[in-house]
Amino acid sequence: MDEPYLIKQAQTGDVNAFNTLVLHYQDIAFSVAYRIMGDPDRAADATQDAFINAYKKLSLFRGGNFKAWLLRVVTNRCYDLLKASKRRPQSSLEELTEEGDSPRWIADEGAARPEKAQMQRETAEAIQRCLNNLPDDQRIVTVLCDVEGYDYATAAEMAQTSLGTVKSRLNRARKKLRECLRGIGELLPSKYR
Amino acid sequence: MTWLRNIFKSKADQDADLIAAYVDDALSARERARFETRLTEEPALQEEVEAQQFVKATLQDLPQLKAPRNFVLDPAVYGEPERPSIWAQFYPQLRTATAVMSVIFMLTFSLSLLDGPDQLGSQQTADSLAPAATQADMIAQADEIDSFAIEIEAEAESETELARAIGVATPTAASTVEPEIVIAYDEMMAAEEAPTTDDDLTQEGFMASIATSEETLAADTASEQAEAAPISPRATATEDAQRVVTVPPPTPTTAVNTEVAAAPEIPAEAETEVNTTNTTNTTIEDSSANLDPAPAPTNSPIRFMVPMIIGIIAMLLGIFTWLGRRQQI
Repeated sequence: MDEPYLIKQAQTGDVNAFNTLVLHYQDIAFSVAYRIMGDPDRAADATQDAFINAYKKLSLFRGGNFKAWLLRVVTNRCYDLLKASKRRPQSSLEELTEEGDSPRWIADEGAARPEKAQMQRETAEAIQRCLNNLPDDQRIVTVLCDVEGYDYATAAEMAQTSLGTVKSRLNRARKKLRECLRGIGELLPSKYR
Repeated sequence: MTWLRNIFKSKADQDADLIAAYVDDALSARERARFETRLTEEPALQEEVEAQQFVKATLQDLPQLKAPRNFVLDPAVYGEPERPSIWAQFYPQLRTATAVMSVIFMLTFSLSLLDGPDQLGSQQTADSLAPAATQADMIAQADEIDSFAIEIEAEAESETELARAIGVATPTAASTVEPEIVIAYDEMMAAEEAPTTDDDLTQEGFMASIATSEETLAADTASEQAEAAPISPRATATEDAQRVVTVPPPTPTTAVNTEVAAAPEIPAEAETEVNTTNTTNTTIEDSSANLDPAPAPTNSPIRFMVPMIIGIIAMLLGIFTWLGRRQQI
């Protein structure tokens, strides 16, 4: 995929070129959105909004790391939705009728055995619950640095904050997560117990 | 800059930063070596590092998710991307320019404020010193004027004698000299009036004392005049003394000319004397002009002009930056 060419084409109004980029990055975009939002439906909404917004503002992309720029759009959109949901708390019908969300349809189970896949899913759900308990700003930084593996500088750029703030938020988040994860120790692989 | 931030951090916070940086492999080789030395000596630190590594490893092991659907855009709905405004296009430059201008504004404003208190302070000092200085000046001027008055009085006496000899009415010493004295004092008081402070009462008292001395002088002259010349076109000495305090007198030239015009058939000698008196009055004027204190330093708004202009520019840049920021992602 010739990313710079596709970006240039998309900037001139070629939606199909942009859609090629969407197909390439939609998994990572959704993954980040899901870790931040903690809900697959809201994550999907955030991802869709982020791609639309990214296309509209594509002329503001001045080169560099397109993936980082795109994830910044996703992070911003998630942050906006989180703020909006805090202003207007609402529960969907599914949340009221089902016992929590289970993102099993999105996990890459592949050829894993059913028992192992079940264990992985339960562990991932438990970790996600721990993530959901974090404050929004700490969760965003944790997802970017620890889940997605970005360095401090990139995470700071995506979260539109300073390097020092990223470090301190990450530090506080890890302390909280450690306490939370100790509570689910039996679900974790033996090497983490 | 790290060392600067660490100045304001506690040891625990600095350790927390070090642990996070170590876990995330963000330490330099030297910092890493030093930290690993500490790890062998401090079990608590080692425990904290292991805890953070555990959290990070757990989160990194989370499975990669797949998008539940495609998020491609419909070409029929989405046309060309938006054309960004000039503010959005130059947002990074505007942001930098705003920051720079804000710093310059703060510096210039601080400098003007630093200048301000000094000026104000010197102004206040000048004000506080003013009564003493003013009184000294006033006393010196009063002495000088008194000496002039005595001279003029002597001239007036000779003039009166001359007038008596020729049998015409001449302007009295008080009526001739007094307006000049008043003008001199008026100018002096106007000069002192600029920084209006609580020494006005002092000045008023001084004015009253001057008026009293003038009244005495005028009364003396009036009594002499009463003895010397029965005809006087001017007001009485008491009225003259009152005018010293209240009414600004006419210009000396006009007064003298009027007197001269009113005096019928003034001989050449008398006219010469009058002119001499007029010259003396001019001397008084000049000397009083020389004795006038320098104008007080004014608190000019010009020194605020530069920071004000810079502030306005910074504000405009801030607005443009905000407009550009709104259109960012």
